[in-house]
Amino acid sequence: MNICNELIEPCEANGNEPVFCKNILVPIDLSKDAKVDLDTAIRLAEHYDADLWLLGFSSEPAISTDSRGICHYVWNSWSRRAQVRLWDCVLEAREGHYRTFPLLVGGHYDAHEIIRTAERLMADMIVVPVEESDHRSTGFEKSQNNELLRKSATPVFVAIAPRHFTK
Amino acid sequence: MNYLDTVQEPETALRVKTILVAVDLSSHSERTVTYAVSIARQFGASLKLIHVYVPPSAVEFGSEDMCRLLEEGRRDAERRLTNLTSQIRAKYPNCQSLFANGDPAEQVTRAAATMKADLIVVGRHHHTLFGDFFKLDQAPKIIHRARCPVLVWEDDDN
Repeated sequence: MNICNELIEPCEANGNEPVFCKNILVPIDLSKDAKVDLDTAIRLAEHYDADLWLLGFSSEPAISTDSRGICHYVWNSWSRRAQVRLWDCVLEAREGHYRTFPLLVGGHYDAHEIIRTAERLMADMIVVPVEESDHRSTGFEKSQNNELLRKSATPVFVAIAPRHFTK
Repeated sequence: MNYLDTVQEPETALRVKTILVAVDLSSHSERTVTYAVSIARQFGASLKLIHVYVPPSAVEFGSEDMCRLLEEGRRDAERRLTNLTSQIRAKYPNCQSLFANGDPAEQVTRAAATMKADLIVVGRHHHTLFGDFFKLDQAPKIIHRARCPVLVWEDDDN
């Protein structure tokens, strides 16, 4: 049996192009101050007319478990700061692609959490914005993005952007 | 003047005109290429299949018979790549193949740079303890060297 015939012919018979990308997930590390380059993800979402989900991670401060007032204040400030940063990204992305939605996760940027979210969301693609200098560094092989590449059942689109393209 | 004539392609359009698909000619390759074809169709891109033959390191010290066997292996890989390309071309004519020797990650990224590929598609199917230990998975290595976006696709059969 030829799998090419099996997969391509139904699409040709209908005269339609194969539709396989309705949900795109973009994980963002909000604890980094660097501007996130969402350009490729927005363009992909526009091309496929897909929903774009921005999954924000924010590492909680160590005092978050303390229940005293000042700690609550610090934690709330931190949490709000992460939410504001995520919404900044969402609103900016909406200028290019309106159907952009936020998802906030407390905790470190974690490959397993990204994979779990992609499965729950039934995402068709995970777009990882990576700067050219970052993916070339020796730390990339031990990074969560590398872990994501190795473990994710969802296709991972590594959007490599040269540093000078980053806003 | 017709208003439609003044309408230009939006700046937000993603430009994917050349897609390079790295195949290892295993049973998973056809699925990977099929996935790449569906992307190429949507973007109207040309598809280039690349297979990199890795010559065994001990070949320099092998006998003449050994060299002949290895040469046959290389020719066999080339033939399989041609067959795969012919199969795909029947469904998607804008498809070509490229056969290279050497380190897979290096050759794939070099080819991508030479042909100014807009996207590299890589299949991933070595996610086993053995595969991880011996770093058989080429996807991270390709990403490490690539200058264009890379799409890593896992075969569902894993």
